[in-house]
Amino acid sequence: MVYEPTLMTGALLFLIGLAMVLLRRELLFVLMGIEVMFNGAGLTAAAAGQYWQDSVGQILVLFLMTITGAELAVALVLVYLAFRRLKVTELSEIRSLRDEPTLPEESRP
Amino acid sequence: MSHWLWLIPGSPLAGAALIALLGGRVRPAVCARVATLAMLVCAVAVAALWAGGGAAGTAHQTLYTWMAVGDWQASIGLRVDRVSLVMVSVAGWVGFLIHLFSLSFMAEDYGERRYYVYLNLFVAGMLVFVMADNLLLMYLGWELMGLCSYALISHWYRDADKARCGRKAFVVTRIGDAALALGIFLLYTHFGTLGFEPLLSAVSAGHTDTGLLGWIGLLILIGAAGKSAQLPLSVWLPDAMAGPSTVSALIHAATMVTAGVYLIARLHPLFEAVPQVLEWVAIVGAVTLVYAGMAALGQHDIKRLIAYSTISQIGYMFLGLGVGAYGLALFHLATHACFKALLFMGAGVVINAYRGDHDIRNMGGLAQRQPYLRLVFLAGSLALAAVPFISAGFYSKDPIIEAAALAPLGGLLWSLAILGAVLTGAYAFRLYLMVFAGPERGETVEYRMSWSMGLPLGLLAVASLTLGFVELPHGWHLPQVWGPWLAPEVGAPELPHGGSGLLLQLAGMIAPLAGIWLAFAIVRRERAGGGTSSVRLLEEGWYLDRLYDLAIVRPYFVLARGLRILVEGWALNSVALGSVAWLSRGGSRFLSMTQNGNTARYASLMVLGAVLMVGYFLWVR
Repeated sequence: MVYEPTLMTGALLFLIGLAMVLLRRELLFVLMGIEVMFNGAGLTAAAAGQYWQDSVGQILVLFLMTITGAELAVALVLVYLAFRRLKVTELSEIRSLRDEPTLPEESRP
Repeated sequence: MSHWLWLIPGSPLAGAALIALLGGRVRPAVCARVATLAMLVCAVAVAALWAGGGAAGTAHQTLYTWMAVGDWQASIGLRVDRVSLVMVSVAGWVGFLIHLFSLSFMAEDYGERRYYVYLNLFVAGMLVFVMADNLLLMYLGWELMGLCSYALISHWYRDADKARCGRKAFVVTRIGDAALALGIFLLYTHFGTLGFEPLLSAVSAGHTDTGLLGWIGLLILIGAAGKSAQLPLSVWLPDAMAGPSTVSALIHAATMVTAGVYLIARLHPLFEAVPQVLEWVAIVGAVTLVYAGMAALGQHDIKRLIAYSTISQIGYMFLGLGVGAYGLALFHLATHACFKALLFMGAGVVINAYRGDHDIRNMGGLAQRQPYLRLVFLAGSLALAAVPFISAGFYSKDPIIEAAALAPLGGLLWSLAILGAVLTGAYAFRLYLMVFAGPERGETVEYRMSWSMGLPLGLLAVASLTLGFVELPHGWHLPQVWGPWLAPEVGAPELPHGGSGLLLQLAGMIAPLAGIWLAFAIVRRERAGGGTSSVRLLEEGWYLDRLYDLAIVRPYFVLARGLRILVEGWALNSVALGSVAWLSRGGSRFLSMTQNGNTARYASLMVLGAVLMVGYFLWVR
């Protein structure tokens, strides 16, 4: 069996997803990018299972799909809450957890 | 009886703890009564020890295993033999009388609660020190006394100078403490035990290198000299007068300064194994007694004068120890405790009567106003001067002088001791005459002593005059109790017999009388504005303080300042700490740049990290 096309497709899917995560600004698209990355990884796992003649690869894909579904449910709720509470839909606008570049004067030793 | 030994150091300790913990809830006068009551219990326990046969044998009680490491262990064990029984009695009874005196003497002072905590703790420290059955526990009591002396000398700490005096006492005695600790370490490394009985029997067995024993003896001598204010560590005692008069009485009579004498008497087999060191003990004592006697003549502060007299009298005890007359040294210690406590408490009353003035040149004629005080003070002065026949000081001091004549270097030691006896008579009666004799001088206030002040003074006065009758001079075919009683523990000293002995006794009787005669002449000169207090050399105590100041204290401060500026300020704070602070601050700023809240940045950093990690595993390894 020829594995290159399958592996190349997996890698392509992964890179596309990564590009979406890194470049898109909307939260929903970032989530979609993550899903695409998962699918790339799943495809690779399935191919690897085939290569080693082992069912673990396919089991891994099944688990991956289940967990992705659960993860997506939580993530969508978070996106919805971010829209309701913070009135944002874009990733770059959520920055409240950043570190201040310098410490305040009185807290220095 | 030995089941109740713990009560003797335990009751003042419990008193101190009680006042320290609960004293804030009650009036200060209650604290005073609790402290005095604790000492009364202690004094009664000592009396019970005498009555219960403590004088006949050795009482021993092990309370608690303090620490045990491997096959070695230190216990909190109490042991009272005849030598320590003397010390326990002095500390317990005189300590109780001083507490009783304090009741009304310190009644109008601030810090009463603190005062009684430390006073009780002080006596407890002394009792632990004298009753310990091993060197480690003894050292605990020794250090407890060091702490309490510091706290009590600087009792009036709001006066910066008095606080300094307390610090000085602490630092100077610390030199001796360090030497003693080193001596104990050496003893332990060599003998592997700290208990007195195994230690001293091992020393007496005589298989030990005398060079090592010499060093140990020397270190212990330095320790004893530090605590007992002998040369060259005597400078703290005159300054220890900054505390209340009762504290001086306690330090000088019942506790602290006599600790050095007891230490050497306790460890006398060790010193006997190295006679050279024992000779040094005698020399230190003889030189100190003359030095302090002369310095006492030049004092005009009543308490400093008595302080120098203490140094001088302890010098006699060291001389007695050095010539092997341990029993006589302890005898002098006991009589000295009585008359010195009496003199210090009397001096406290004198100072109060003169509105806090310490200068005896402004005093005179107090006999008319305070006839009772005059009588007891006279008794104390007679005992201090060792006037023949009627005072205890004569019976305890004179045999020491005689025993010194038979020692190696006897001629020198005897001459110094007899010179010291003349000086003692002179300064004792210079003090008495300046304060009590002649027409009334100076501003006095009506100062009435309560019974709790008068009673201790009276008892001590009686003891100062009569305590000596327990050891009448040898060769008179009169009963002697003290020497034969102590002989099983410390041996009997050799005393001169026959014609030369009689001659020496005669000299010892004449010397104090000559000193008293001299005192009259000095006081006449003092009244005219001259006298020995105008001799700067004597007033400054032979400039010993100034010498130490120039030779040790100032260079030390210069060194400390240099270290502070160069090492602490520059090398440590600026360079070492500065670079650490700069590094961590810069590092923190660099790392916090990554925490900018930009999720895309985090994600790309994650990618970068993953790529680097995978690359490392794929290609580099």
